[in-house]
Amino acid sequence: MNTINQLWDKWVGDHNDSDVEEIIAYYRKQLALYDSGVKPKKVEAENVDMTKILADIKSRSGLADKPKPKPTKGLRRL
Amino acid sequence: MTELTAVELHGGDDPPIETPSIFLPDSYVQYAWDATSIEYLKRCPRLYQYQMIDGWQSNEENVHLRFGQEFHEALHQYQLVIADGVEHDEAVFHTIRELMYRVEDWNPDHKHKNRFFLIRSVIRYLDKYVDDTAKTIMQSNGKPAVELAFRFELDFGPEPDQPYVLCGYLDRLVDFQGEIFVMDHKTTTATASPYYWNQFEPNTQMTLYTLAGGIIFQTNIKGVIIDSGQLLIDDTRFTRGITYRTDDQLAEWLSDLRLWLKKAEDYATEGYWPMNDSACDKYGGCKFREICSKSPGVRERFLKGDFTKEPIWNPLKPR
Repeated sequence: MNTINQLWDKWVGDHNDSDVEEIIAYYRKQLALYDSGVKPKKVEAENVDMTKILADIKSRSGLADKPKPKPTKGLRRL
Repeated sequence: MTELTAVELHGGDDPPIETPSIFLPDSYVQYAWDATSIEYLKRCPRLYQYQMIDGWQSNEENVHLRFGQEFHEALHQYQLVIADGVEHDEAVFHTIRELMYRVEDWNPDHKHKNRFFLIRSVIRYLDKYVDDTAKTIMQSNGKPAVELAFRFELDFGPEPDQPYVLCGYLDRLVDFQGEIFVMDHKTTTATASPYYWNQFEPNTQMTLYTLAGGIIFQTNIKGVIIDSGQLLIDDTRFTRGITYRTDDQLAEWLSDLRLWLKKAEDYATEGYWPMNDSACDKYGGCKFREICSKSPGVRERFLKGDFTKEPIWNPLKPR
């Protein structure tokens, strides 16, 4: 499917009414997807295992072996 | 209650007329007021001066204004096409096509208020309210009651022969469950929380619109239905709120307005509009806050850097 920018550029080129219809259809489809709970960004991220990525980063940076820092007590009152 | 007289009502099809000034001749005493200018005055006289007397405007503000105007115009056109008996899908097509032509060269660098979010918002709104229970009232001339300009005189004024005039536009008048309401549309990035809706009670714009609706139709208007669209990255989420006004509330508002307008006269006569420095952080922070935080001698220089002078907002100018 074309992106909205591509659809817009197509319409700007020759101002065809069919391009207007395509843009309306594009948004209706996007909004229907949103309503159904499917978000394009989420779909792209579904195949990514974030737990593994975070574990790798921690391992490489040595953070995994370090003890957790103690929570600070906040600002001292003067 | 203050006596009101409707002096002029017209729809969008009237022939263009020369727009009169909102000020008395050779002065900054404003006699024609809309909700926007009253709100500036009440919020901070210096804000009122920068906006209404000097005409300073930020680029950001221009984007918000254009977005709002195009959104309103699109809904207006849709109502006109529907009133001609056109089906929903075809009316949406005509509305969006006209909108696309109007914003073809408008491409602001703004995360939310841009042409794509605008088109999406219009489609979302029209589809959501296709079977709206709030029905547009038809005027006696057969036209739908949308984009109604109003002007009415108060029984007092800055000069004996010049009464104050209140003016503005009503987005739509609707019949909702047997009662007549003004309908107003908003677009915002704010979440439609109770905090958001609380801003409309009390509220100058909503009170003035209730008053104006009653004068136009010579009937009791219950209040204003507000359709608010929250601009999100993937959606424009519309929610509906209703704010009511009693006759006593309208009378109180008008009575207070008399004193506010007297204050405005005094500021104009003095040629000085004082800063209300307890309002700078309200309403999400005043856009002139950084200017007012500078020393008076350098403010003009900073204004020229961050703002542009635009023609003074004239609520008497036909749309």
